[in-house]
Amino acid sequence: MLISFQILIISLLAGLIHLDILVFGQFMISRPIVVGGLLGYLLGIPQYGILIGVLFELLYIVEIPVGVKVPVDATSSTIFSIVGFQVSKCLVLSIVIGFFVGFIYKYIDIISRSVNSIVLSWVDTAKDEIVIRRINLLVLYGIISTYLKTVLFYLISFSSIGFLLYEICKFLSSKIILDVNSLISVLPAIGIGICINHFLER
Amino acid sequence: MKFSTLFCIFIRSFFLEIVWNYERMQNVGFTFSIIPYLKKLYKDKELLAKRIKAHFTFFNTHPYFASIILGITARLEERYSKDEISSEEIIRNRNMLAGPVAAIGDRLIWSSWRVFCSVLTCGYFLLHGRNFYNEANIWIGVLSFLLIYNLVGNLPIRFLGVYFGYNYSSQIIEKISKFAPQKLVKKIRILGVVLLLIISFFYSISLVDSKREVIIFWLNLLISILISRKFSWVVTIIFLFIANFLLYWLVIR
Repeated sequence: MLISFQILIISLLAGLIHLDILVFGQFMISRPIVVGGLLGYLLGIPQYGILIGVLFELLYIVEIPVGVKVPVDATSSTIFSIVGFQVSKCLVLSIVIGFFVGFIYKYIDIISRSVNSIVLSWVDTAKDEIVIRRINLLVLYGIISTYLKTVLFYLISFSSIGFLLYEICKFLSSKIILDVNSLISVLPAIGIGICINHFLER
Repeated sequence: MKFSTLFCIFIRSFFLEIVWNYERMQNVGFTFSIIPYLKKLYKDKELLAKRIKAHFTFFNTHPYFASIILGITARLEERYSKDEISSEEIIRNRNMLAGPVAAIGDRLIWSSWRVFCSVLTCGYFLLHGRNFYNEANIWIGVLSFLLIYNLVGNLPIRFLGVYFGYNYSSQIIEKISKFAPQKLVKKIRILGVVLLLIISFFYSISLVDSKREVIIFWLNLLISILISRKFSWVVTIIFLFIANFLLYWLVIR
């Protein structure tokens, strides 16, 4: 089982990965396929990392941030599933619970976007000579608040939902876990089907 | 515009979505990106602050294609500094362009290019068969995804967007339509479907040692196409997850 120091390190790293989504660049470092490979490698389970990464990449493939829509967070789903698997060794259950963690992060993201509206007054009320400094400060606020929000989210979710997952898997027999894990090979079909339909839409 | 200023706007444009908010959306990122040019243009601090606050209003578009609007706005600011146009005209032009540019960006990048790159990378892995996670080289897959996506999409659009936006100004929309993004989107999508079918075929071949799994694989694929035509992707996934669980536990076990 992961020790708290490892949980902290993963949470700190996850905070950095999340900066890619809105804060800096959108280079797609936060995509499941990249996060899966990277985190799996760091945790010493590269094969499972990429397996989970490919599955979530396919499942979330059509979730697009069009306009004001806040998409379900594929990054947190992937990170949680990999850590969940490392803790419980129950692959499919980690993926199922990880899938729902993405929805929780989405709603936290919506709240933080609403909070962002409040800090705009820093610039509106600023005197002429400090306007640029205030905007730089807002950018710094954006980086720090996103980072801290994400790190805190992971620390809480790893210790609460992760613990729950560990207990459920301990309760289930290894035979059941093995049976459910054999589902994995057919799961890519769901993502592929959704994606074909997405491409065929006008 | 000097290359150094253009480069500075390009780098700052990476922060375009920072402090995204429901009131004015990308206003912080947009203002932060255009500040280097405004500083070059207006030496009077009072006027500079006035111009910065004028841009600190509602703005929302596609984050990559926003570079075009940054370039156009820089050109308009230049004209404003020569008293050729009003401040309202700049903001009106900026906001008027945001909609069409977002439509192009959402369809070309989010909905087609990014999805296509994901398909390409997943394809690289899945073509290695059911044990792809043991057999494929992880770093080749991951790094080629990042390189193809960013070197063809993200970076050139952001950099050339500022350059062309500044140099062609309002003619840019005409230039973009000549480039025919709709046709490009169509081609990407057709190629995507073909790729997905090839991937599915070869991946299912790797499952043949268990014929039952091949059947379940193709059933899942067909059902997911059918359900996602009527319902959202979330409903499709949850339905098929439950159906597969029940199938394994109640029938196969």
